[in-house]
Amino acid sequence: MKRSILSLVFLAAIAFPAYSHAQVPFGGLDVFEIPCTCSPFTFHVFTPLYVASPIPITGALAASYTPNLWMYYILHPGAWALGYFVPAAEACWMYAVAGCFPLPTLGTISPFTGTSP
Amino acid sequence: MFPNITRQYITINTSPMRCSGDIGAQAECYTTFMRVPFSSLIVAALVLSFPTMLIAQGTAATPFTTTLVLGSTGPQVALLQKLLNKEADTRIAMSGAGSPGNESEYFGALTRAAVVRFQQKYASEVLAPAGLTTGNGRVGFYTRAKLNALSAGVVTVGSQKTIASSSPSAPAHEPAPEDYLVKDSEKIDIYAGDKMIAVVQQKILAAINAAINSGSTAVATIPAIATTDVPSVILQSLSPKSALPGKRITVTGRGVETDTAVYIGSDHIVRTISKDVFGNFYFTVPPMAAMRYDVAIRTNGSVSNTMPFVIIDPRNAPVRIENISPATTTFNGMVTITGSGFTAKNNVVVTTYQKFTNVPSSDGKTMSVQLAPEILREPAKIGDGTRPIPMSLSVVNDSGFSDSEKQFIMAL
Repeated sequence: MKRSILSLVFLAAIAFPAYSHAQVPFGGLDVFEIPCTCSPFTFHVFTPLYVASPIPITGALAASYTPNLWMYYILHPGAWALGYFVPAAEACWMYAVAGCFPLPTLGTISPFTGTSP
Repeated sequence: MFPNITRQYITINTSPMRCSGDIGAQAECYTTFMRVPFSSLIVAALVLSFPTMLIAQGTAATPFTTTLVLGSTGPQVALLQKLLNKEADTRIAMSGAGSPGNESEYFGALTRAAVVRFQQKYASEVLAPAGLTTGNGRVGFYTRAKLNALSAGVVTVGSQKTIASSSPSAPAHEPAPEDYLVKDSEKIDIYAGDKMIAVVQQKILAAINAAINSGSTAVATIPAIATTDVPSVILQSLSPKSALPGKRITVTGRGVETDTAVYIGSDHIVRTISKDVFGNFYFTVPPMAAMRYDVAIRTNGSVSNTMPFVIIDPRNAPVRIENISPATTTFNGMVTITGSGFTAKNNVVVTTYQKFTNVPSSDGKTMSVQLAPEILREPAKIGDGTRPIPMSLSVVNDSGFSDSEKQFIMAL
């Protein structure tokens, strides 16, 4: 019995990874997109952007090239997005004359983010 | 509520429930009943439904039963075209589509023009009773009456009355194509919202480009963007993105209200949006020419971004993309799109970072564009051709939207 419960806890830990609790909910309108030439991400500017608050701001988030879970609703300018992002992760890097530099963002969008068509 | 069917008789509640007293208090209700033979009821039902059947299907005497406008389809349109083609001055076309022997079930621009000529020809019977002086191309009540008269020779409705003399009640005014034209006081730049967003994009891009060219210790400072720098009204989606006139289009976005106006191109306007019980905003596609339009919405003087919308002609071939060549291109590289349904001109090719308008296709199957997105100009200057930037491509033209998006790579 005890062994079964431990197995269940172990499986739950795999199914629900630890990073989920670090994600911040957001929603906003994607108005601008640029590819991050030094990392496999795209840089998205949202305005209005709502980050765990009803007060609208403007901000940038990075998104992976990898399509999100809803492949027909991939993030793109003109679409509203609703989901989560992992804060303070410098994911978008741009190739410069010598080396790469990060484009500052609020974080990296989670694949558990949906968009409008 | 429902009749109680017995072997031969049906018991019908012949009076509505009569109640007295305060609602919710001691209401006294009673009903009266009548017993009628079941066979009599069937006969009565058939007699009562016969006029309805005539109206729904049209008859030899009154083949035109519904309002026909630009974009309408069906057998009544084909009959309309045949009738118009009987007279030289209302003939739809001398040759090709719509000409005698080439009638179709689609009410297009040529049919509309012929209907206008028909209305002008019979102005005293068609236009004058409706209070009009010029034809509008819409086959409404009086135009239908005249068409029915011409198609049947002698028109009878009900017993012996002619349509002209009966005129039971002219229908309420239905919007005509002219009603959707933008008045001088309503004129706006439908691209005002797009221009605001473009300014924001330029500011951000300038900051990024400055950092790219500043060396390895580059630090990009994204300029502050105020919420007032972007349109306060945003058009998020039109669903469906293409439709026939008369179809319902759901609008989503920010700042959409019941007094929001929808601009279909710069010259046509739907002045108010409706709201259904679920809170969805929608409008009905006006009777307009089948083609691609840029659509914007306006609320309280603020103009949104635009989105493409196509009023479709079902006769047009669907737009399909089969292939993009090469699969990997470079900045300033030519990309050839092969498929079908491309129009001779006015194709719009939309890629992830660049949009091309007025792209020609001489054969309807191929198009070429030279990719040089401004957003990648600076990165391309310092790239070594090994950095893959994934992109997608789709096409929209007067026939509709391409069936899919195709992916390709730009190597920087």
